[in-house]
Amino acid sequence: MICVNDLFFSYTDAPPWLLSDISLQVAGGEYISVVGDNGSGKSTLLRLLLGFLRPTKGTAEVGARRIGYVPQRQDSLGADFPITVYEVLYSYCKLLGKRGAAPPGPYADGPAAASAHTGAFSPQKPDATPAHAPDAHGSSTGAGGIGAGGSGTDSTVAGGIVGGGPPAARIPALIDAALAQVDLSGKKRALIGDLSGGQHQKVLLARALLGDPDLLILDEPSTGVDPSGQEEIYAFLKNLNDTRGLTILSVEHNLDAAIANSTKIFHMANGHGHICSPRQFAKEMLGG
Amino acid sequence: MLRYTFMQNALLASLLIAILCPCIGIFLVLRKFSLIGDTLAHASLAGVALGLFTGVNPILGAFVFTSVCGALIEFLRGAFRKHTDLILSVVMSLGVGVAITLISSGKLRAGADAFLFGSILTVTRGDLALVAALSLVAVLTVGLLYHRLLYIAYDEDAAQILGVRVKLINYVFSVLVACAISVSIRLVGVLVLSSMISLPVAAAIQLGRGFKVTLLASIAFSLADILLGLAGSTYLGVAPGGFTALAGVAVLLVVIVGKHAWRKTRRRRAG
Repeated sequence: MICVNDLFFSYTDAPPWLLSDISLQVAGGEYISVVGDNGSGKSTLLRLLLGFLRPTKGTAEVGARRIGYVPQRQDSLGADFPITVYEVLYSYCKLLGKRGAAPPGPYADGPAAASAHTGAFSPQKPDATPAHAPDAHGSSTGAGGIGAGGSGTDSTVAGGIVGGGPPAARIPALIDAALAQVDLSGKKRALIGDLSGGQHQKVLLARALLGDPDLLILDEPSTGVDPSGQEEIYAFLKNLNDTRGLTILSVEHNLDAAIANSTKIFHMANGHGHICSPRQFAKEMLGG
Repeated sequence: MLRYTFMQNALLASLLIAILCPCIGIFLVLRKFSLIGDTLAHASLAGVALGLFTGVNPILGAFVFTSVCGALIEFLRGAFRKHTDLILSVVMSLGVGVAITLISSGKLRAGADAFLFGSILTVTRGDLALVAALSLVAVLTVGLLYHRLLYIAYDEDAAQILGVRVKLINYVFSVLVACAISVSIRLVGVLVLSSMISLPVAAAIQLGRGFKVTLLASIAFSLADILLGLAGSTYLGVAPGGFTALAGVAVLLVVIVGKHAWRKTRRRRAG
């Protein structure tokens, strides 16, 4: 899924390197946390993987069909921007088709299905699901939030879609489903700036999952989120990884979360990095 | 009043300005680029002067020169990544430099003063046709690029990951800014042109609503501003530019005061 080989990077294309001799292979279905102190180069690596920067030497290839990206929560993103949750998601859906042709029928198992398969932050009561959401039938059977009954309805919801983006008529249902899976159905008309840190992060997560990505990249998902919100977000991510096999790469400053949730940890320091298991990493931390 | 052709022209032009300016201005304001509007407005004077110098329609001259300056700003943004404010000084110097040189040469075929303060007497039928054409193309383009422009303003990284051609759209957008400026320049004038671009949007943002509502509200405020400006200009016999700017500030103040008053009464009712 991700293949980084002998990567060197600096903004001036000359030493001193911000990233030096980085190699990292991520297979499909893994949950990698990238950890390291401030200035260790983890954000730079993230921007290289997202294609915002080009390697000076070496390669950084991402083989994902679609990347879902959850940016770091900053004040600049939304606090004073007059935009509603619905508008953030609606325009995102409208832009999903802009990147070339996607494989046929990307929505056959798309976000609508995601809400049915991955469960929610809390067990969904049937009445918590909007009546016109695509999984409305399924939710009556899936009281635990991991209902399997949704897939039958999904295929009719998603049927006959060609090209990259969802047709306009489907977008409201996609948005309802996306918000339902993060338990924010009631916040559809809220201003982004009026959300709490945790709610905002969940909206960005719901957004990233629109378009059925096969790789989710997150930048410090727990920044500015209270402890209970953090718990919900990590449980949700872990569930996405476990039940849907979604590949996740998360730049992480929350080391406990990294150790508890990821399958592997990429530990960075001074522009170098090595891969280790969460257990090894925990030992290194205790030993250091 | 409306039986005079010049008044009809001025009124039609005002309506076009009132719709177009906030459509462009909202993206400038939300990207914290209001000063780009001001810079380009000043640079447009050079286009006017070039038009008056060569005999081309000054509005067309303003449109072409301002588009070039807008593209120049986009281009220089790569070179001065950390000092974008510097770019504005550069482009403003270029524009105003050309304008002053040409105007002071005494070789213009008509006075450029009307373009500084704005004038309701000078909007000709030919100007109106050009203004209408530019407005139509610009508003349609905004409609076509709506979601892309919104995402570039709200979350440029996400737009880029989605495959939006951010750089290209930024260039297209600078032409749209040039449209808005050249459309407004006859009536509002160079000096306070940025008031049409940013004040109605500033007032609409105060309402604290979503993007679409903010956009519609800014068009409503912009209509109020320019109609007040036009009325004031007619009855007081002053240049419409100045009075429109004052109307813009007044509307903004009314909105802010009204918002606080409304909040207070709501709190009192709740408590």
